[in-house]
Amino acid sequence: MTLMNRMTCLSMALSLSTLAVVGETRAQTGPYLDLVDFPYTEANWDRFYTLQDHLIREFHTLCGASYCQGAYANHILLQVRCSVEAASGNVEACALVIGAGNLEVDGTTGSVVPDSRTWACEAPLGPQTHVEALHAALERRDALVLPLPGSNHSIHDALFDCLN
Amino acid sequence: MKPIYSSVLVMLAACSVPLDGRAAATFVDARTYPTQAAGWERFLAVEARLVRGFDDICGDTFCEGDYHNLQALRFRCSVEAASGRVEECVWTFTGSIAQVDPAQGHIVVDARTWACRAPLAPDTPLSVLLQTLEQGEALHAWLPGTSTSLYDGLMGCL
Repeated sequence: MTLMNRMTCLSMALSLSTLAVVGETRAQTGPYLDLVDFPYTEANWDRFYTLQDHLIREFHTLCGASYCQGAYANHILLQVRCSVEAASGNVEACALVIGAGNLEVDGTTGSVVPDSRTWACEAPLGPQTHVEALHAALERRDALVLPLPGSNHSIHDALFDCLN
Repeated sequence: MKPIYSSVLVMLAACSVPLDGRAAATFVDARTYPTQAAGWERFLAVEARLVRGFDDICGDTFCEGDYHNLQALRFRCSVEAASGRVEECVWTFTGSIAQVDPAQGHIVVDARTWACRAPLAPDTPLSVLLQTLEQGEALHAWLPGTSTSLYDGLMGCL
């Protein structure tokens, strides 16, 4: 290995370690983490996004018989995001982001008039719900209609109030 | 004779107004042109093709930006009932960014919608537009009488 190659390698290694430190620093800017990053950056990535895909399918199945019967008949669950208290592993909050929209033709002017909107709906979490308990509850079939751990309410209950 | 003519004219005018009191619409939803039976399924099939096309390319194009989860909501066109010419087509989308506030634990949500107008040539017949969008890659097909596509229209919108 030439000196130049050694210096290039050293430079790349330093750059990578700098990026890692930046990542650590970013994750430790407060007591709360994204569930994706619990217990460390991107550690829960695959499990969380599998869970989100499951909830999107559950929402789509429920939608036609519930939320999607009003003026907006095409609700889409865009995103699920949860925060976790790093020290305890308890989930602080979860939000479900939903979009929907209608288009109507104005018979006089010919304009196609949009009426689209979004909602951010909070999950009715029980107190001190641990990450593992939340994952176990939401990975089940019918996860949206079953009560959340330590709570009498389901996400479906919350969505019904939030979307109507 | 004059009073009789006036009465006939008044009656004819009254007959031209639908029973619900509203004048017939100049523009209609393309799904109901020329009739709902003839237009509905065909238009919705085109909309489904467009959505599939959008989903196929989103990850490498529009979804590489700040909003990586863009989803199509609706595609609708208005048509002049008398001529069958398209007045306007609009395609709506939604997307979001949700992030954790590390200090408070709150979820900070930035969710939005877009309404994108198709870059149609004036007086495009609906039948020609639908034929164009029913073939090949609908999203990239040049719209009738233009050298632009729906994709080009989205590039300037999303």
